[in-house]
Amino acid sequence: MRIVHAIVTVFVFVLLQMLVSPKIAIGDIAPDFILLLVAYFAIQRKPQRAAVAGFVIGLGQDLFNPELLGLNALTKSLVGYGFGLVGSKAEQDHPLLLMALLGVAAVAHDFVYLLFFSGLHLGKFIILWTTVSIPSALYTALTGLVVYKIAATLGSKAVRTLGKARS
Amino acid sequence: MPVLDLLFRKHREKTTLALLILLSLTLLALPKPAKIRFAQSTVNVVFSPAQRFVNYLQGLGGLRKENARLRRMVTSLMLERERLTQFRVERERLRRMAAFKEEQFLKLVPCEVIGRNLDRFQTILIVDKGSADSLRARMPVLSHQGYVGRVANVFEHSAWVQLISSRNSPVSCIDKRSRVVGVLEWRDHSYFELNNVSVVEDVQVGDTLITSGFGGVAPKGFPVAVVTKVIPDIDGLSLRVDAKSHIEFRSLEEVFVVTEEIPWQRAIMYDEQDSTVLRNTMGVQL
Repeated sequence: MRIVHAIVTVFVFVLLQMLVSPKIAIGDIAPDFILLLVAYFAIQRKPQRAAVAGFVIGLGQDLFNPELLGLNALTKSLVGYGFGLVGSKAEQDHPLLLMALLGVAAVAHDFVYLLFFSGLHLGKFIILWTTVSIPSALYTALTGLVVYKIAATLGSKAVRTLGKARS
Repeated sequence: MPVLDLLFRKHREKTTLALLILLSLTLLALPKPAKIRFAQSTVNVVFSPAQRFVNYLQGLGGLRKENARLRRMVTSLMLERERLTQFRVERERLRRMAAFKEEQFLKLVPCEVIGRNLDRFQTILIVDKGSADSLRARMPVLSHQGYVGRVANVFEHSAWVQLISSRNSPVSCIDKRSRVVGVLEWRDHSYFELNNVSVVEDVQVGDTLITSGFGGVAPKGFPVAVVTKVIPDIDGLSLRVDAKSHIEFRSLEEVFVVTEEIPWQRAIMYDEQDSTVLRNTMGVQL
């Protein structure tokens, strides 16, 4: 059951990344649903498993850009591990803290990613990090909060429905 | 083994992370052909059917509307082309009289984009045609807006297109107005830099940069970008020329691969055959 849930979740987030993200993008600034997927797994699992999940998801992403094969795997496993350490505590009570963590995770992710992507070209790195990464991180964090609220609402409805069915 | 016990029992989480980082860095350090082989074979097996399904879903909504629009467009283009064919016959006769060099036309293979990298920066497209459709590596790829990139790798029924909006895809370009030649390299977003332009040369804001045809990859004369800024570079010897592409690399859905250059005489035959097919299928009376 847990595997089915994981596959469906991956499918939904990949669809969101492919179909929704380009539609709601403002120029190059777009929410990163793949990062949200890693964060989602990290919240539910221990850091070790979250890092492995991040690695697998990142590697899947890298397959579409083989020139930088391993880069998303590296950044997503770091995000998975980091988020697994602190995210699970934030998720329970403080959605705003979760949003802040998502923003920090997105900025940190892009910092490592762009270092390699820009080929250590400082000018390109600074331009892309300031004009794309930071606004995109805010957008991702905001989207993450919305996704969290929707997931929480759907979750509580499902619990109520299950409760009624049992009674 | 106390060391293994320490690593895999007491610090299992950190060890796992370290191994994952090591594995990622190893993948990053692999030679490019090995990376591409690994990625291509996996993508073709796992992701292509899924991406085709997603593209099908994407296109479903506007399909009927687009079809009607395209039929209208094809009809008007047919009429326009028929007139141009008449002009061309006349032009050919005049060119023959003036003994001009024979011109070449391009044979384009339309391809549907069935995949792309999921990163924020678009550098690779996967198209639905491959070696079975005469595609070869290094063939130029165009969209209706201009030059897009070149074929990087070819499989039997798919190919990977390296877009010009990536680090390692410089394009030799020429200023359409002043014929100044330079090498266009991607900088960020939709912005490019035209390099190797001397300070005495004439490049102005608003000039269109087209492919020069030098190097033998991109055919000559296709628009690539428009100059947005021209300032003297810090070395005092060259110009810093910024340019912007109008192609939306993120939303490319169809591209054309140039598979062949057709000589003038054959091009007429090719077009006439094409016209006959269109006449029959569209029912256009010309």
